Amino acid sequence: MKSTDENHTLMNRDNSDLFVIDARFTPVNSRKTNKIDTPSREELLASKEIQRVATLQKMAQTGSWEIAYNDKGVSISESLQWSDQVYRIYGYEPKQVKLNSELFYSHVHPEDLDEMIGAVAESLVLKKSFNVGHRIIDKNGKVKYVQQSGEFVFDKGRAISLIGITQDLTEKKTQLLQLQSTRSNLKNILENAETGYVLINDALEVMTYNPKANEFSKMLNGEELKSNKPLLAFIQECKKSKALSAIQHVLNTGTTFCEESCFRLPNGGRIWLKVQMSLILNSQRDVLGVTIALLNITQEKRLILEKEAMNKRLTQRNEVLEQFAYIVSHNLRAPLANILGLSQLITQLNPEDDLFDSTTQGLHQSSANLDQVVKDLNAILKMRDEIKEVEAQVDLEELVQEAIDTLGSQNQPNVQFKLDFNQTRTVKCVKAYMLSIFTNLIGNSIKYSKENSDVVVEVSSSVKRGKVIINFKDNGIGIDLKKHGDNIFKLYKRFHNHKEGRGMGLYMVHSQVLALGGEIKIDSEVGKGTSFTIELPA
Amino acid sequence: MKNENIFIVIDDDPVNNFLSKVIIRKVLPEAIVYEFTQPIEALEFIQSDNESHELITLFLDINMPIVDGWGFLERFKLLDAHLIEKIDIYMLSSSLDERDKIKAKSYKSVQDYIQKPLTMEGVELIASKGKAA
Repeated sequence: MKSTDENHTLMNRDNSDLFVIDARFTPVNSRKTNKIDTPSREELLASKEIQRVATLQKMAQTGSWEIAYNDKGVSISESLQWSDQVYRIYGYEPKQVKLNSELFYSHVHPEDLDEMIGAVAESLVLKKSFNVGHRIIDKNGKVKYVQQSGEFVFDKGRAISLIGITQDLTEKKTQLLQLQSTRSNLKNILENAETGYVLINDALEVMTYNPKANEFSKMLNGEELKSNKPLLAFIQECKKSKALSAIQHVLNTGTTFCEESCFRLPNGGRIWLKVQMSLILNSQRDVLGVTIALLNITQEKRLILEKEAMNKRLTQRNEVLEQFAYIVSHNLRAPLANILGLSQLITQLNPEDDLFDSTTQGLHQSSANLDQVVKDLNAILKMRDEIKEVEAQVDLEELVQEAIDTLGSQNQPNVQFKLDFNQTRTVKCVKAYMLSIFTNLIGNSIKYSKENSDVVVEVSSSVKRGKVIINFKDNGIGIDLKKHGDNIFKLYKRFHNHKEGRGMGLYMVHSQVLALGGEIKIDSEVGKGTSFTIELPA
Repeated sequence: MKNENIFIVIDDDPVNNFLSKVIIRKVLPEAIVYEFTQPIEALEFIQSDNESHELITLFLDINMPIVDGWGFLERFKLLDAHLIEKIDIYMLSSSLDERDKIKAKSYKSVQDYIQKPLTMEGVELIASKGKAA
């Protein structure tokens, strides 16, 4: 059973601005004096009503209060009345503390005190209700958020009391604050994220974006992103069709698109972006649009490319070492074995013997072969040192002329040169390398030419994708690439019997092209001719 | 004569072929030694001698242009059975590489792997094996 001492007010809205008080606070002491033994029907009803209101107040975490005003318009401190729920909001048990305005104000959060007093003062002057949210510090020192709504009761134009309700909003406020902080955290994350986000609708218009996405747009096109504009307006011309098909794929299939892509910057640089697109659905699973996430992975990509390049270099080095082992095993040891055998033999031969001359000739030949292999190895090692030489712009036509001069006697009068260096006349390279490459390739074209036909050597240059491409083409005997393709550029590999050659030329050409950071490819058909394509970094 | 000794030496280096021939003749003065610097020509020669049933000892170099020793062995495998039967192949290479030895042993037709230069002891050993067979 609830205490019948429960104080409460019931308020009805009248036509007037004022509240009409139906049930008024009654001082506790006066209530006592008025107490009668058997409650009247009205009193029973009132008591029930009191209980109901108390329950409702508790449920709504709302309490009511009243304070009387004297005829000078000043509140009577001791007249303050709180409903039980107000006590609870302030951290007290009902009636636990003696009420006065000082107690009330002592609980208002110091920072909110001025606003609270101002609201009440304004209400009195304007004769209007007030509604102010402020913090309180309850009995236990806990900060709470309350909403105070109140209104003065006037009698013949004079304020006689102030009544109102106090609603505890702490729980709601805390939830709100949490939501706000979650939102601001999210916003903070998005604004400071390394990833650029652009949200587009299903009409492919930009809905919203974060600063990083805008930064990317400025970097790629020099243009700031704008909401409600077509996304394609902010995409580089060369990437448009690809972007469009990717977005449509995401919209149609709901799958996430992810790709690492290289973008050219207006300043000539390049950046690598990881582009990820995924569908945005609402809670009803309707398609709202697509999120596009952009992450700059240039640094990582550069590291990967460097690693790959390093791997390639190491693999090449390893191949060179293996080739050296092979050379030692076969090419160096073959003449040596001959010398061993022949010198053993010669001890058993009479100088008058027919075999004696052949044996000494064989010895001489094998020694010369051995010497040649040592010289070749020296040339290869020397070439590896020459890489330290500076690169310079070298005139291609001059290179051809110098190569022809170097070939000298090997050059036959019936060689016809067709040169086309209109696209680029020069190439940046180590000249010694390039001359060696030109000499070897042109020399091969002459050496492996068809008998009884004019030799035509075509040399041309072009620029493609920032690389200088030099093409050599002849009408010679060609080479069977199906059989020998793997060994073309290997040391001491020969593919023709009737022609002299040690298998050094193309090995040197290949090594030098690689040392210049380029690539070389061969194309050939037996009986038709051979062409070499060299790609060098510009 | 029944046990006429027939040898084929295949090496793109004529000096080695000369040396091999001399060494073989030192051990077997009556031996007939055919020299080839191109494996394909040797194959053609073997196929042309279809009638004879004489045992032939063949010394084969590995490192040669166009068709090397391995290429020769691959082509040799495809010859008529009786041709394969009558020819004993010995790899004669300067290579010190174990992998070459292992690869040589993987061919059924290869009897052994001899490191250059060919010596009289080596020829004697082969000659005695041939007689035992």
